[in-house]
Amino acid sequence: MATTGQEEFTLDTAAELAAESGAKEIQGRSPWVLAGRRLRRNYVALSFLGVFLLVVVCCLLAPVYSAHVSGLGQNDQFSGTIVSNGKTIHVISQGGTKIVNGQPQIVFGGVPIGPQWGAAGGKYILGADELGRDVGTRLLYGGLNSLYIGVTSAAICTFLSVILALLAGYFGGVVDWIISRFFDLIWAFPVVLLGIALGTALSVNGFHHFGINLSGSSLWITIGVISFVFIPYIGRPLRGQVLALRNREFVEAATAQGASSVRIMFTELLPNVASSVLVLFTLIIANAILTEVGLSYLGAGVRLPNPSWGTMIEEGSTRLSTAPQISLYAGIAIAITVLSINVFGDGLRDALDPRAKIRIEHG
Amino acid sequence: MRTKRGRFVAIAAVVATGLALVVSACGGGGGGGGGGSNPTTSSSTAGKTFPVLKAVWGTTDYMDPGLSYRLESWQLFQDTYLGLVVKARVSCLTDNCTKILPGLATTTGTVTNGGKEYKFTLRKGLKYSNGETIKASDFKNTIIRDFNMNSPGIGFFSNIVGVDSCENNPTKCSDISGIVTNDAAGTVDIKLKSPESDFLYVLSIPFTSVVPSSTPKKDTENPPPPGNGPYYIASYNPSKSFVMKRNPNWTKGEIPGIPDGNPDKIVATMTSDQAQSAQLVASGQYDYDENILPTDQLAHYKNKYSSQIKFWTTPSTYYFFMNWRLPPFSNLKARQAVNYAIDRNQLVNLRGGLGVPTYNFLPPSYPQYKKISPTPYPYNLNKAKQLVKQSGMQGQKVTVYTISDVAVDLSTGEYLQGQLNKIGFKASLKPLASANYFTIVGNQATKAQIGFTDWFEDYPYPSDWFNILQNGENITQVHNNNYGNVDVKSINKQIDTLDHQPPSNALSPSTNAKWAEIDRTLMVKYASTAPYLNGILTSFFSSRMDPACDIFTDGQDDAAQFCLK
Amino acid sequence: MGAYIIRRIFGMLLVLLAVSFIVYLIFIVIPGGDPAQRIAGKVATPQNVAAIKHRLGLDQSFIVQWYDLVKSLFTAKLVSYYDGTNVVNQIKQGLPATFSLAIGAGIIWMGFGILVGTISAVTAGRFSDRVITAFALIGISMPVAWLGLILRYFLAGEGGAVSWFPDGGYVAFTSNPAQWFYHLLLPWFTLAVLFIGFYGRVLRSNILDTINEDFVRTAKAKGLSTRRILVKHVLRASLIPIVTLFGLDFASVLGGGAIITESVYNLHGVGWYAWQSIGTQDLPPLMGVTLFGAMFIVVFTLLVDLAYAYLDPRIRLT
Repeated sequence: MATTGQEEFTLDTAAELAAESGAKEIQGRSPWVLAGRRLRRNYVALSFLGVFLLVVVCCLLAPVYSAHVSGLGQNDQFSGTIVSNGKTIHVISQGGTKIVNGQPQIVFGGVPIGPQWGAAGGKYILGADELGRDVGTRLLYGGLNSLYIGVTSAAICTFLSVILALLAGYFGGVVDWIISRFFDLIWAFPVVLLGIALGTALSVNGFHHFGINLSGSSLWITIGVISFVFIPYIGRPLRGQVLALRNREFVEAATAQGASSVRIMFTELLPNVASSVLVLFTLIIANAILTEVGLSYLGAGVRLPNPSWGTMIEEGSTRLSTAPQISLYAGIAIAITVLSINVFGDGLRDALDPRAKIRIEHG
Repeated sequence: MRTKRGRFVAIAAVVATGLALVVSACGGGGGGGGGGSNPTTSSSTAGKTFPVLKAVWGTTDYMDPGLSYRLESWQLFQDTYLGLVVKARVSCLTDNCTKILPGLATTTGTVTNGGKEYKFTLRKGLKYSNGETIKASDFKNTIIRDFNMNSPGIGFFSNIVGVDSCENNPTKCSDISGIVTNDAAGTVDIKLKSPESDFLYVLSIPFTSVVPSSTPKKDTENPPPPGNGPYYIASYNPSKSFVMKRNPNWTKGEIPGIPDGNPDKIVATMTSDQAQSAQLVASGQYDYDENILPTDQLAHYKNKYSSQIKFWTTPSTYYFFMNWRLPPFSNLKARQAVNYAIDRNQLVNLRGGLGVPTYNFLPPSYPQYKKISPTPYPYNLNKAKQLVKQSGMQGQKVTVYTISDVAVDLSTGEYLQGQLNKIGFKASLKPLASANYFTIVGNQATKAQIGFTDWFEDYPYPSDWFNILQNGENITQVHNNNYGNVDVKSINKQIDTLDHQPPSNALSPSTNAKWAEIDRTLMVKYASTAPYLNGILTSFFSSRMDPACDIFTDGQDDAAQFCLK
Repeated sequence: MGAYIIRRIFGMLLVLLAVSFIVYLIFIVIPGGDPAQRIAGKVATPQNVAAIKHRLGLDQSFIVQWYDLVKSLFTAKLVSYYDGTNVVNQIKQGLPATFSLAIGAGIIWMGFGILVGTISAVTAGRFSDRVITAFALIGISMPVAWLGLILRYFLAGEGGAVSWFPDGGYVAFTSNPAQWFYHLLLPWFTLAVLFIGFYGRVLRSNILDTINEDFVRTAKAKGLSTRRILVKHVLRASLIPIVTLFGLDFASVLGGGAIITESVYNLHGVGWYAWQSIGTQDLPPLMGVTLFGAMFIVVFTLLVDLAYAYLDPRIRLT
């Protein structure tokens, strides 16, 4: 196909599918079914969804790995010896200082062992960190935290943005003006800067307003911060869509039938933007995970000793030359996870709402 | 003073009481052997001058002798701000580096009235780097300025007659009746409420270094107050850089024992990034790295630049405080359990090997030090678990306080938290920024149960350790230095008695033994704290420098004496 | 046009006012407790606490507190709680490094972004497009902190694989232009990777969208060559949203938004300054930098909009 000059530039999945299957066959089907059909043909997107699910499953199996493979919990320190390849070795290299004639004689120590892969019978497969904790175990538990933060904050953010966008788009006028200015306002802050500002301010004494009590080290502070900073990133495009739908006949019809505002917003407007919401939600997960890394790296995210991929990168940053495993694998895990979400999100977008776009910024 | 890397200032409050210590008669404490002969460092370094020393320096809190309480600046102050008396600028390895010598004054003071009155006479014709003449009244105004600025050093002056009104309202302090000066005769007369064993040492630390009376009573930032030593700080850009130049009004050999210095100028960039500063010296862009080498790359640097690196043991102790007033550490067995539960070798490993495990509170460089033997708390988790069980504190919630922005301190806190969990507590971690860590921990309202702390000596007498850090009489509500609220009535009394001895006894073998016994009793019988190591510092030079010139004076190395190969 | 500009500037001032209020909320209200007690820092005698209280006007009503905050910023009187240094001065000192990073990285990401996006769109569906798309996706999926650390360690670190680049730090352009460039290469690249990937993808889809629009069909019908259409019509139209995006992102980086890159490479810029203050929980610098960053974004947004209004007659000045 694509023989004419005009089509030379296109890579429009929908058009391709329509051309392949013939327009008649599609008629009368719900858009969701159509999208599902398009997505099913996008093997790349599907296989990356598989990768993402695999990562999730692996992280969920962290307790199993901890109990049956590494034998160490996520925060368990160990500084003894293990047997690897038949040899007994210290998990942390032993050093110390002797004073000889007033002069210190130093043996350097404190270097954790690197990846043992299978040599130590499942122990320290990815090596140890400076406290003798198992990097593999922490990577899985850290992933659990990072994914949890990513998905939860994306969900909260999406939920809030949808409500705000519906209110703004449906009521218009003053409500729209206020909500739009609110979006503009948050939009005006650099994401990471706003994130660390909130994260640091909240870490001082925790959050104790509106009946919510969070300690400064709570995971929910990070989640709250990330969900807050991304609100306009979903809210702005959605508001536009709702605004456009507001004057369509089906909304007017519902109004004429005496449907309540809430009813119209949730049964008439929401289903029509649902596909965009789904796409934006997916893409925000990827951004939320990366933002968690940024915040934790800068010291305004997940609090120690609990692992997350971001704190692992931060913890390992001063030990790259002797124990690169601490940062290295966490980074690879993030890249794989985020990449799989992005590729799947792309596929989802092509299938559902090719125009949905999201600005990303986490430098 | 506390900590090499921690960004903090200790309030060395309440150094009260004590006896006059006739240093000239007894010699100081400290690591070095006798020495004692008049050190003529200036002649030994003659002819080694060079135009400029480019250094990478750790960031400091202030560049003002009245305000700063960090090693980074005190290291510079020994060449820029002198007091009436000074510590000898000689190596602790070969000489008596804790000996007190006359500084701006002609002698180390005439002591009368049973150790309650000190009389000094200023040397003639001394000038500050800005050309002003050094006057006797400047000394008094320096102390008043300290009060006016709420200097962390004002606690050292509490034994001077007439300071009470200043202590009650420091910013309004305008006169101290116990200090009488005469500009014409150049005399300074200090009256004490009671004899004080460490008073000459107090007069040797930067808080008493004399600055002009006209110096503003606030942090002047740039430029810092004019100097009166062989150098002065010509410019200072906080956290970024400083330039130190020769004092134009310093005549060679002006004060015997204070070397004139080799570099004509010291230009320094300031950073607290250890990797960065080591790299700048390794690449030859700078000559001297004041920061400690990065833990991670110690072996690498030592292999590659072995002849350019020096290691120094410092009179310092790193320890965990345990709060006697709060469960679970109100219980002796719980405190003993912590001592058994920490593997001191592992804590040394965390610092890359830069440390010597210890069970004593006093560092080994003190003549009053006596190694506690047999080892009181060999690493034994089972024993620790048993003790926790016996204490009935099993399952108690414990919050471990530590510093968040120094990687090693954070790991240390994480280590302790992990070990406490292993022996039956429910421990969580509370990392705090070093900027206000000690303020928060030192506030009784915080109710800090256990946490990281360290201590670097201000001057070499055990009262700097036991009286400030473990005397229950000195516990305060805020700015407490005795974080564990250690309070043993009999020990408090002994500390007081040792400070109230006849002067000739201050460093006698029997007094030394008594200090050692206090150390032993507190650590073994009461497990008052959990000391774990004495710190090691590093000095890293570029290949054009001769590390042999680098001598370690009391607690710090002296940049003025560095020389080229 | 004149009325439009005045109205927009007025609106911008309102937004800035609101921004300062948000900053006030974040830093004074959210932390709760008694900030004076909390931040009095090292020599926190009751006098110091009282002085800080007085300085912050904490006994005043919130309107006064807010006003004082804004005033302290505009009169350059805001000082750090930790070391007493002047926040506005410190931000000023960070500007050369931050601007150097932003401008260099901006040029790189805009240039490569356009190049990559155009190639990808023109060869849509072919191998080169797929390769570019794959790399772009990987580019936007890597955490910047990690990419920076790994690049710095392996390519520049003492003890790393090779030492082709200086190990972080910033050299002023005025003191040594060659070293300035050399020191900034890795940071530029690190920061640009993310944006190249993102801009390339956005441009690619914009071009593909534009190609199907009527005016392109018309041009084609008129018999113009594909290349001419692409450059003269398609690319121009597709770049408009990219320029908006660029205005926003560039402003964000100029305002200290590249805090991760600055801290990884130890570039003593505005973002680095903010980062230093996180560790010490020193709120005034964070307050200053956040406000500063937001100011840049607001001003740039206005400039971009004005530029459009001027360049594109289709945009109505309503």
